[in-house]
Amino acid sequence: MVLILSLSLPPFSVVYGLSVSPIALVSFAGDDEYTPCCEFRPNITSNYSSFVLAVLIIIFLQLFFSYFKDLVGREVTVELKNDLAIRGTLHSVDQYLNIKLENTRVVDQDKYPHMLSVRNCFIRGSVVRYVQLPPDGVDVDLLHDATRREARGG
Amino acid sequence: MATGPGLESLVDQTISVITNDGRNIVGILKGFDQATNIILDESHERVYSTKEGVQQLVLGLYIIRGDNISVIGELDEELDAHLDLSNLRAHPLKAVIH
Repeated sequence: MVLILSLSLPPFSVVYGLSVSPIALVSFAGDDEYTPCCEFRPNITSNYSSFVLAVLIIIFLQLFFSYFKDLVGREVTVELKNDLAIRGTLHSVDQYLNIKLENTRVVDQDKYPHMLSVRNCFIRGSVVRYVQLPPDGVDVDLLHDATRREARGG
Repeated sequence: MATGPGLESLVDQTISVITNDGRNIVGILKGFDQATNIILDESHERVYSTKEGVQQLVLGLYIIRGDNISVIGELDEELDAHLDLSNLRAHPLKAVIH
């Protein structure tokens, strides 16, 4: 079963309070060719549920991407999966949630002198464990509403 | 519609790469792509240990696969010159656990 999904971008801007609706062009290709000896065909419901899952994942990623774009310029601490924690000003973020930080310093510089001469860095999204934000950087209710709206299906 | 990682500003600069297995490789960024695979020229690895100072192993021209990269840092040459690597003692970085 082949699922072809293409998103038409540029990324829509999220206004908190409105639901995010991606403009997605989705097409499905069912199993047209199958071996003559096999009579099994995937049923329609399993196709649909994996389609819904794929769309939900994409919507969810876009929500956090938009949220981080609004946080640009704030001071954050990024904790990585190798336990390294880097503090810096959020310069930019991309769709993979890769983070670029400026004016960086490692939180425990004595323990991790590996980045002493680094002041700007690019952190790959896949290695981020936490992004620690200033407490006034988050409007929890707004984010909560937006997330709930996404979970409900936008 | 995916724009690659914004590494254009770092091309031809000296960068410090931290890989998923905790290695620190320093070199000049020559190229990159959407998957964050990078080409590093004049690269050397900095091995940190608690017993002896930092060891620098010359590697040369390297391609590092994007899957394996944690951090790409722009190395400030001035700051780096002030570092006394032979007297630096540190535990090696931990590996990334997903």
